[in-house]
Amino acid sequence: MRQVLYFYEGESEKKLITYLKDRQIIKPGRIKKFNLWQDKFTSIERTLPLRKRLKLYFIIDTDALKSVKWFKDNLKKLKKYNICLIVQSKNLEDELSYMCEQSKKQLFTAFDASNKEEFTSKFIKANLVGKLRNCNFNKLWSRGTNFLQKNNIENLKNCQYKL
Amino acid sequence: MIFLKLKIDNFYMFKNTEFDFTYPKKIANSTIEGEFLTDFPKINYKKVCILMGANASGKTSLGKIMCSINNYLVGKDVKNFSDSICDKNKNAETEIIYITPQSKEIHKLLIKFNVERLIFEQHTVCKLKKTYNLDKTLLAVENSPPRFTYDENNKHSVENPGFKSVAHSLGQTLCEEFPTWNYKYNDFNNSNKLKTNTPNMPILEAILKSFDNSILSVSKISESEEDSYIVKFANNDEAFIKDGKIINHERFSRGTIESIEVADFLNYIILNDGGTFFLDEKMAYSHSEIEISILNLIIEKLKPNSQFFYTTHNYDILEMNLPNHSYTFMKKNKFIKVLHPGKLGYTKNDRGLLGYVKNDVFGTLPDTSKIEDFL
Repeated sequence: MRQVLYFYEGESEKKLITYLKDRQIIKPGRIKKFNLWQDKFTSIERTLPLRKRLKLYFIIDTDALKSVKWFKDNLKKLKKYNICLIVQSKNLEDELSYMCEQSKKQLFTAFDASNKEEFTSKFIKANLVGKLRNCNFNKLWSRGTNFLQKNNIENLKNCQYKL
Repeated sequence: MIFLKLKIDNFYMFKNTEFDFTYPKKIANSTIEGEFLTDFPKINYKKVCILMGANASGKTSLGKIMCSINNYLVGKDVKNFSDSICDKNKNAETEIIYITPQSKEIHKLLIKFNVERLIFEQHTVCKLKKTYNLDKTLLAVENSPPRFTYDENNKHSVENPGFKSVAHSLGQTLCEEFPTWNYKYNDFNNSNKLKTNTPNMPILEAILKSFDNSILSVSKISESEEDSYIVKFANNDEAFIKDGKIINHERFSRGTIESIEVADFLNYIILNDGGTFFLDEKMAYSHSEIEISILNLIIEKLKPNSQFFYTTHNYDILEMNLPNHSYTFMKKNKFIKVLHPGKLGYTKNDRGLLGYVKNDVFGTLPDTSKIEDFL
């Protein structure tokens, strides 16, 4: 079985990936924290097993871009690996709004939250089974190509992570 | 100080055993940053040295010898040199080639002991030169005349030095003025370091929570003058840590108990600039993923001119993305033998080090036939 690793930026993404894995919406794999925009790849590279059949998925936000140079430097170092960028259109709330066909306000209300911070904190603690029941997971992370094209970033042709 | 070469004879089960803590060629995009001497980039030394081998293959003994050397260099009377002599009827000796980064010098020290005392000491020292590569630097110290010799003919009015450096006692400088080292051995309550630091709470808490996810918080007991901490669990249980030791052991798993010492070790590395750090099977009770994660963090936090030695039995460590020269294998037949895969032609591109070990290419696997006889 190919070893899969998902890299997330924030705790809410971690929660969602765990949920998607548990519901068998995405391939099984390990979850690790890593932010391509600000972390140094070497710091995590040492822990990657030396196996050729390793597949790395990076979930990235595109709303608060930090250093594009840093991001691209990290991508250069990742060239030798089998990687796939999972691009969030802006951030997780936007993705959830789109996928669940709810306005952001409706999404926040569903989680009893009045602002982004409160939403994040409640999302991490929530039981997602009920909250995301009527969402279309095919729509999740489906709109990131613009960002990749705009920044001349080539993604893997076979970037299949959904089951 | 940085160990470059170490020869040990007749201590523990070492017999003319040679360790090489240098490597010949820098690796492009190495996952270990700055694996060379600051200001002298041509001096490649192993910043991370992972020692692997079967049980009783000499890993801990190596740490104890190195620690004794560190103590000897600062002028301490290292009586345990006597206890660690294997054949008591013969002399035991060690030759150390090392660098003192602060004074920018390379040293060669040869010391010989019988069970009663130091009988020979010879110290050679050279200034490092930026234009010299590693080989030339090593050659320079080999070819230089000794700066100090203590033997039967040069007693310097010292009849019985015990296990103390005569050179040091006569004012010769053998190492840095304020050296840093920390040796943590696998046996309980047995470590040797120069000073104690206040625990790093976020690290201690992160490590403890990784070991035991029922731990809710770790906090300092504010009214206590000493370093006392309270660990709170999800079921409202509480445990106490005082001066790095757990008061009520039963609430923790063995791995969690050892993680407190590992957190302390990591904090020591973070707080000190450069030095020698030796962690001996301290994560033997940890899950492999936690061991990898902590080992990675330790490597990340190593400052320039540091040297980290780590002993383990965990095969997964061989699968970490580290240069092959970072691994050293030890085995004991009658005496201890050392194998450096980096020198044996196993390069970084040869990613099958684990396969070689599992196929016993290095002869480092334990012989389990005596156990299997009972099957």
